Amino acid sequence: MSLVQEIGKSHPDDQKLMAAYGIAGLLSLVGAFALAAVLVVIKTPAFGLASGALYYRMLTGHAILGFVYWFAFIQAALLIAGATALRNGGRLWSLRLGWLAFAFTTAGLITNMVGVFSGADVLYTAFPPLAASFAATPLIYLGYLFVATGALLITLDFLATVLTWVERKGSVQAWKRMLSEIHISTFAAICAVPLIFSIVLAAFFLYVPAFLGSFGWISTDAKEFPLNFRLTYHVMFHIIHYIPAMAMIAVAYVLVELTTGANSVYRKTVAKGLFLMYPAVVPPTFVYHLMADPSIAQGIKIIGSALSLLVWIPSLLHMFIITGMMEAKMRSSGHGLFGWMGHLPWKNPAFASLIMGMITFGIAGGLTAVLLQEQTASLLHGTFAVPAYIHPMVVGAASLLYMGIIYYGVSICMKRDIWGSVIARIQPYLLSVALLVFALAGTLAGYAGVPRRSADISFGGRAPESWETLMNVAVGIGGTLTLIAGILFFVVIGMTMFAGKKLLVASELGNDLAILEVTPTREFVYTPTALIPGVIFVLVVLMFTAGAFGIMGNWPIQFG
Amino acid sequence: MKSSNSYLVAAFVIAFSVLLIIPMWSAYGVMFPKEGGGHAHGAGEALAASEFEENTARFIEEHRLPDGSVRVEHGKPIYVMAMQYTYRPNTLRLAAGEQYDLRMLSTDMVHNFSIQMGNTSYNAVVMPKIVTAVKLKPTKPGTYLVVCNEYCGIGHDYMYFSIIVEEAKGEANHETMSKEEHEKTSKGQQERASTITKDHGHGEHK
Repeated sequence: MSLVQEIGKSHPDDQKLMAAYGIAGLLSLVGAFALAAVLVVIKTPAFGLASGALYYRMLTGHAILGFVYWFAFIQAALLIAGATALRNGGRLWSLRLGWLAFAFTTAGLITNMVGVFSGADVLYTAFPPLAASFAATPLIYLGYLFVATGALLITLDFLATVLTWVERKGSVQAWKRMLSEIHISTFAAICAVPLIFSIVLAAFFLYVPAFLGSFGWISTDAKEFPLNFRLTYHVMFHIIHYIPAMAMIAVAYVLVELTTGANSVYRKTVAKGLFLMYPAVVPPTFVYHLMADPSIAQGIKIIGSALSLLVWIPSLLHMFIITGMMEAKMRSSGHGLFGWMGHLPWKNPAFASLIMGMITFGIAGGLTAVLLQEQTASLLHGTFAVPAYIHPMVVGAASLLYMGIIYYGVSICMKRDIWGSVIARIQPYLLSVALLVFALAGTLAGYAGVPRRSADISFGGRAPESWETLMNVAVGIGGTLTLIAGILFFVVIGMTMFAGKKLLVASELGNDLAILEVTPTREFVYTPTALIPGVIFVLVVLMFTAGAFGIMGNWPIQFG
Repeated sequence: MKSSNSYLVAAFVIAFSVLLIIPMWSAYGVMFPKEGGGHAHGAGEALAASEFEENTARFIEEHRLPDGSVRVEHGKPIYVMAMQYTYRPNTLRLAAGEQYDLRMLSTDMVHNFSIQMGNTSYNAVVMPKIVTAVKLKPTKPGTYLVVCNEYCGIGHDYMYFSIIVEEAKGEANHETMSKEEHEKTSKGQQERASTITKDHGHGEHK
């Protein structure tokens, strides 16, 4: 049975819950893009419309919608898919609990948006003591408590579902059998559970006292609350990043199978084992967000830097395995060392999302090199280099891969063919290229010192001349192209839902998403080409590090 | 189907070779704290804002020039206080070739010391209660813009000051930044900050 048939067998009630999460996620993403349009206008120096008051409100709303709610909703949908659609029609443990979790997340979204548009210009960080200056801040904290509760409930539901897969709970063999049987992506979701619980725990630890303190019901002065908040926040915020990182790779494993029909030539335990690395290496590396803080001892920063290098490793190896899956499959039909690439289904929008998402992930990952080392972080901390890497990472990689799976999700669940093939084919490439323009010019702006969160970067005419040009390219061109690519996606998905051609046989997809036909002529199990991206990545991060030291050595003011 | 695991082994070797960055740290001589004082933004001492404010006020009083800028003698610590939406002192004069100890503290929010050096910058967080201690040695005369790059409120964009690096000792030039230019910096900035404070009702600072 193909994976499409397996996904199609999921129960309609579970599909409804997934669809609710998916649609709420998409609406959050539409909101994030709409506010991004305002940010593009404000942040592009050529327009001359910089406005601090409007900018910080829009930035707060944009980040909360995009980074918190789009991910919270869509990743909950993926969690349910991992527990049902990838389990051959298996059911979710409790549908009622799933809907309760959805209600909490939606309540969080509404509460946060009321907070933002009532004037809580606190950014998504909402750090005390700054946040205390804004009367609507408690609504930000309350919304975060709701979304954390929603995440906790849906994760508990997922975990309870996993427990139902083992009849003899005391038998190690039964557990081993279940873990070896499940799909790699479902295993990835299980590995994410301890990280999700850590995030939820940290969120309660942060926002319960912050919420109560903002009404004066408890005192937050005596215990160095702002300092502790900043530290705990970064632990939570750091771990949050790795949920999309893991989910995106889990999605990539599904997409490569759906688009090319490829299977791993390596034992699945290798891929599963690599997912276990995340809960081990991610939590201790939170320190890389605090490399320019005076509150952390240098020794801790150096240990943190060394550990931080490990976070690339599982992702790099997953990329090797996934690329290798395609290589072995394609070359089994006789294609040569590089010739196989030309025969991949480049016109399938979900495949384009997969491949461009992976390329963008690799490039954005390389851009993090200087930032996560104590020795070089002071070159870029707080500059525009930070959004210049995070946007390709979360939009050009994670969101693009999610878009790829949404193409299949909508088509399979609603039994409709993709509307607007040509637009759908262009969209993933445009989104990826747009974010790479944003990343390249934005990183150069960061190296040139452009501050990360300033509406007006003129500083009374004293700013370096290069700043305006770089920001015009990064935000004006890269940002605008990103908005266009986003609109194209929303139009295709919206139109597919309501106007896509009905599929006669539900398990057979339309031409755009059809699985690639490959006729094997030989057994081929080697993956040399798949090694190349890893080699390039390592050389790039070494080069970036050496380059950063080179720049720092030539500073006209030496720091040390 | 039997796969060739040698490629998998090669992939592991490639992935783990990102750790080659670690010997690069020692190759560039920055892996461990430098002798006598630690790295630029290493852990600072905890200090009450009132004590730091007193030190800063005394420091400004002792070193202020008629144009309002502050010229620092080599060997004496520099105190800079950050607050919504300004730095105190507003203009610092240093001499090229000398080494200085810069100490910074915020009296309210978390701010940043982001010094612009042409097409590159050095960035350090400045927070309340913990002093950011930076050793710096200017080598090239010029006027350097310092901005806050940590969001600190609606007037964040207007939070900046100048460090003027003058020729080495004996060749000092008081006029590196004209009097008019200095007045433009401090007055313009103060006006903008006070407008923002009035408009948004936060930031009651000394």
